[in-house]
Amino acid sequence: MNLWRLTLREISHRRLHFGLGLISVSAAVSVYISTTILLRDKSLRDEDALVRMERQQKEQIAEDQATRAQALQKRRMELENKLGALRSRLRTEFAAKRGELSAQLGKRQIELEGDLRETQEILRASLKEREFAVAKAGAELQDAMRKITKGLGFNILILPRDQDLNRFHLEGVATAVMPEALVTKLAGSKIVTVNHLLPVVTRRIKWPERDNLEVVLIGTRGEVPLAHRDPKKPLIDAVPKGVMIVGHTVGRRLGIKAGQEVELLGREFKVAKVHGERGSMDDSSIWLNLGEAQELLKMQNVINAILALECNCATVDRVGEIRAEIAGILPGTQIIERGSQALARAEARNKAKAQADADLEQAAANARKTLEEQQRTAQATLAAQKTANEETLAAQSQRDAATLKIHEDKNAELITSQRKGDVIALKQERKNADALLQNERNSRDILRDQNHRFADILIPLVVAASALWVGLLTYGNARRRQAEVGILRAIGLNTGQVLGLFLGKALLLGLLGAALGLVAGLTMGLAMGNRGIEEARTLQLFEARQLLIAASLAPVIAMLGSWLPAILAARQDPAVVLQEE
Amino acid sequence: MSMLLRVENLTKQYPGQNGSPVHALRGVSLDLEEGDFAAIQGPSGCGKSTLLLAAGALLQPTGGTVSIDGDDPYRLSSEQRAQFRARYVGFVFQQFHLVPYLSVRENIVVPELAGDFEGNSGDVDALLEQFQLKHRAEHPPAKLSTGERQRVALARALFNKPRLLLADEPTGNLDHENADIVLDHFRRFAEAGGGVLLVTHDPHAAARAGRTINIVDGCLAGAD
Repeated sequence: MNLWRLTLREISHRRLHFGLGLISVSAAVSVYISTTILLRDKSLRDEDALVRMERQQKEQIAEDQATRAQALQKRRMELENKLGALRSRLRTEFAAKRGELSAQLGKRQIELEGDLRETQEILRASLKEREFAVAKAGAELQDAMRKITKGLGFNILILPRDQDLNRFHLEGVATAVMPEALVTKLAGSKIVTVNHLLPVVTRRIKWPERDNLEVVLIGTRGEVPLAHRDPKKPLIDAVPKGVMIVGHTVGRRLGIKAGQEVELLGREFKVAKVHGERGSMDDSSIWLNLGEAQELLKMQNVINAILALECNCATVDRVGEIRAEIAGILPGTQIIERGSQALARAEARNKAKAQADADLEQAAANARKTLEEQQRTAQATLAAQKTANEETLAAQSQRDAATLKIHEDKNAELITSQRKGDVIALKQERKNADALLQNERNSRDILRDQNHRFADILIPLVVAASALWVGLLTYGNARRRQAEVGILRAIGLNTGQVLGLFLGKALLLGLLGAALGLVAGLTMGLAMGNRGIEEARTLQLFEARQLLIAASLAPVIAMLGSWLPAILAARQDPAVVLQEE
Repeated sequence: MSMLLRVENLTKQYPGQNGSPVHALRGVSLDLEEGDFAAIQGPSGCGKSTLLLAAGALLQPTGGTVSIDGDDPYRLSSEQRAQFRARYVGFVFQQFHLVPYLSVRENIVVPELAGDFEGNSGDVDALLEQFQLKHRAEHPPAKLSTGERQRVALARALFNKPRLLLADEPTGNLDHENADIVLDHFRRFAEAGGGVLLVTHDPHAAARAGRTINIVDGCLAGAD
């Protein structure tokens, strides 16, 4: 047996009594716990509400900030769009202006080019006309020169190969003969280097009928036309039969006049013409028809030479070229040039041609100069126009850039202004939110303080009531147990043990009451509180310190409440009790 | 034979209602040796119970001395005196004063609460056997008959093997049969070397004692 067992048995025996005490202690503890929880709950809810409020405010501000940012962005986009439209319009106008100026320039260029072409055409026409005129004049000059130089006679001699040239140059006439058919062969060929083919026979004779005057008899039939060329006016007209042409010296010495009848070698001839003085061997010559000359000289079908006139087509190496060509056609011949006539002819013709070419070149140069000047003028005009256009465009571009810059600056100013306004508004909004939050916090703090003050009164009252109730119950218990205490004292229990009986019971009452009160308080607290708190935060409703206080304070309160009745019971005189019993 | 209890010139006064003291005991002296079984008789209010309680170290006397086994318990402190009582004295009362919420066995061993004095604590089963309470060992007092209750109270008084057994009207609520059983146990206790001081109105019970001490108005009126 021990005091705890005795106490537990007594508690078990007087359950109602213990239960009433238990209710009291439990009630006090539960009130303390539930009040604490409710206060804590209120505090947490306040905290949550403030956090929510702050979060909502922040969200609202963030939303407002986002809205303002969107509005700002929208405004920026609008301004940028307007600016873009303006830029586009300016670009379009600029492009149009450039196009217009370019078109004007192009038009001007076309006009100038037209003028240039017109001038060019005029010059070309003029030049052509000039060229034509020069060519014509040149041709005429050439022709005139040709005609003039034609008078110089044939300049090419085709002689038989066996003709002694030394003798020829000494006597002035050819002595060798060659078939007359050669001239026909040459004419039938496609020779290009010579024309005016004139077959002749020549013989130095003494005119017996005229005092044996030594003359050069020349028989000629006239020029043989080239088969592949147009007929040309012959240099020398054919001497008809029965006709004689007389040289100047011969005519003067013999007194022969044109129209006069003369006899030569027994044959009558009519003088058709007496040449003027030529200063050459022609002055001592007479001309007969080739056939008649051949007959008189007994040279039928042969000739001494073929006279020819070089063509304009000949190159510088005229003789070489002529010899090469004729050698291919008439192999048995040789060719000599009658130097002075040939050179004079060629130089005259070349000079005429050169003069014509020089005139033409001068005219062309003048035309080119005129054209170049006009071209330069046109280019200068175009360049000036282009420069003016570029300056106009540059000025336009600068104006456009300035306009754009003004708009950009204005836009930036508008955006900056709106941004500043937004910043100020948001700052004010934050300030208002902070003030609102602070007011709410203050209100809740005031309410919390009131609740705490109420709890500060309620809890001690309840605890005091509980202690008083436990004391009364203990007192009643002690009264009922007087005899028991008396006999226990009689059989040897001391005051402390008796005191322990009651205080032990109070201790158990307190511990159990604390446990039940904790459970009840927590249940009530959680039932009445714990609203609107996140589940994860439920644990925050409990404070270990308060639970410890409740668990330790309840037994203390119960023991304090029982203290006086226990003391009274322990100090009662067992003798008196036993005597009264 | 050694002296177990010596009461010399014992007086006890209570404060009266009108301010004058009430003399419950007036110079009472008596001795009780080992083996003595003495009965105290007298009219109601003569001081019998006061004498018993004072002799049992429960009631501080106004004057005189009490010596139990050679020691004066009233020279001890209250706590020491409680220990002293537990060790030397066993009490039996008319009202039994059993602890109602304890079983028979537990009531018998309640003296253990005061301490185990060098193995003096008895064998509860032997006591249950001795007082024929074995079948009631686990019963609460309320379930017992008055005789059984008194036997439980007697067994409790003897559990610590006291030298002195003090009984105040122990048979007052018992029938003859049960009274005889209790008295027989008193006699056996005395025969075993203990001392028994019995306060009783019952002549039959007093007759069972070895001697009788009469008290009248707080004074010894004589002894048989």
